[in-house]
Amino acid sequence: MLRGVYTGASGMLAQQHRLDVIAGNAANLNTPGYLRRRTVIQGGFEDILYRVGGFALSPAGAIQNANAAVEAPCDPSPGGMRETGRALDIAAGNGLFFAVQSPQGVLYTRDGRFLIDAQGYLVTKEGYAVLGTGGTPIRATEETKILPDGTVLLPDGTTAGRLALYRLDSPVHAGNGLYSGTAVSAAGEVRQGYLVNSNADIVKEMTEAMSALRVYEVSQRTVVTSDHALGTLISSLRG
Amino acid sequence: MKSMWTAAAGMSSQQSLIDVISNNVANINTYGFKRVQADISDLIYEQVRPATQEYSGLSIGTGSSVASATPVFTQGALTETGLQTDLAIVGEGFFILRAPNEDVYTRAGHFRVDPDGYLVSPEGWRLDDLDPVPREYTGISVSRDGRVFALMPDGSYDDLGQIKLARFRSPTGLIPIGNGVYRESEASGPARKVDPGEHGAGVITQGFLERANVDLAQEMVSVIAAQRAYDVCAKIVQVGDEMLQAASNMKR
Repeated sequence: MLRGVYTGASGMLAQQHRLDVIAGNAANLNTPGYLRRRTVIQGGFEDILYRVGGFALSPAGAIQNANAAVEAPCDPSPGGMRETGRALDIAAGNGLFFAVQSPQGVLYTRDGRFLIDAQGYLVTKEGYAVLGTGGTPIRATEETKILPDGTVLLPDGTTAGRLALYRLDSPVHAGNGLYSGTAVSAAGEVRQGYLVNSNADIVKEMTEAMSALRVYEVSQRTVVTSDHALGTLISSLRG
Repeated sequence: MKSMWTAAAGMSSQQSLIDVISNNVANINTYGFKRVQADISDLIYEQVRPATQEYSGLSIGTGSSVASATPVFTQGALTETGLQTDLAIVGEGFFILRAPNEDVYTRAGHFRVDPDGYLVSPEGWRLDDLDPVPREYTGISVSRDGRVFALMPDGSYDDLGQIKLARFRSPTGLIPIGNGVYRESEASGPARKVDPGEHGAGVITQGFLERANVDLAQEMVSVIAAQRAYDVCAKIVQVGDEMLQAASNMKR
């Protein structure tokens, strides 16, 4: 009977964590390049139930005593674009990612709010170099023209390199709008003066929040019902 | 209930977005004003449960914030004023003004002649590197490459020098100090003085002013997006509250 109380409580906690992640998505509905974070509910601590038959115990089935919300890869769907007009706002179409050189190695981003550092390289807002094909940083200026295929043209007409684009099917967030995962080089359209919108979605987040609330309430009922049953049992023993 | 705090952070960052947008809209008729873009980013993530043998881990974001707001220096439309001391830059670059302690930079070319004969901004700061106009001048003429001449009563022209324009490595890094005036920063890099029309700098058009580059339709859409995100965050706070109520109702 006590098992029901704890299983129900673990369900409540899991839904609470799920809502925490949904709240993060809701807070980033307008964050350029943000990828919707997802959770899955994972069962755990499997117990085998035994049946008493005669003098022997035989297995009757399994139950999962607890569950928890755990991280799943982010939603890789494209976020759509919006025009900003800023020369160094760069968007990769089709849900592709730019590669950046971070202290933790190469990471990937859709947040194209780039700057130019003191050495003249194209960098992210954290100062990480944006990589071109061949994994080399790219020199740029504010008058740089970026062609739809990602070629970076300097004002004097010379080519400074080409922005490398990647596809990530299971992006795992690494903080600051950066993602890690298995990246496959891909061809796609690059747009200058645009940003990729967050792919968090009002309808999805609200639906998820309502679902989290209802499952939470059901788990809460499980706890209350188990508690009542336990209470009834104890009073019946009083004789 | 972390979700309530996360959603609250989301609400305040949407509020900052709306503040920035209202400032843009309020300045739609300010000459030389450049639209400001609020840079909203996600906040740090906290690990609520490390990965164990039984379960994979979970980290939770703490919301979003507007870390900075950067000006967007696209060209604004020109309006003819007919005033000889109204100048507009067509293309890249900034006018250089001599503020009391430093040089500052602006796209707003609404100048006048001060009692000493210098061309000054509305704040009274001198336009960089011009000689004063002689007292008896009858007019001022500015060429596309920034050469300034005073027209004299005898029909001759007096050369007052050339207006220089400032260019920056990253104009986005300039710090606005009000009235469309900017100060250089480490992010923008130091100013490079160039002649108008050279090294990618724009040219100067006399008798015109540059309007704000604010696009009302774009700002309206941004307000709606911010408003809706705000609503969703507010609803998430409510859902968090309902969960808390359900939790406390377990014991009657």
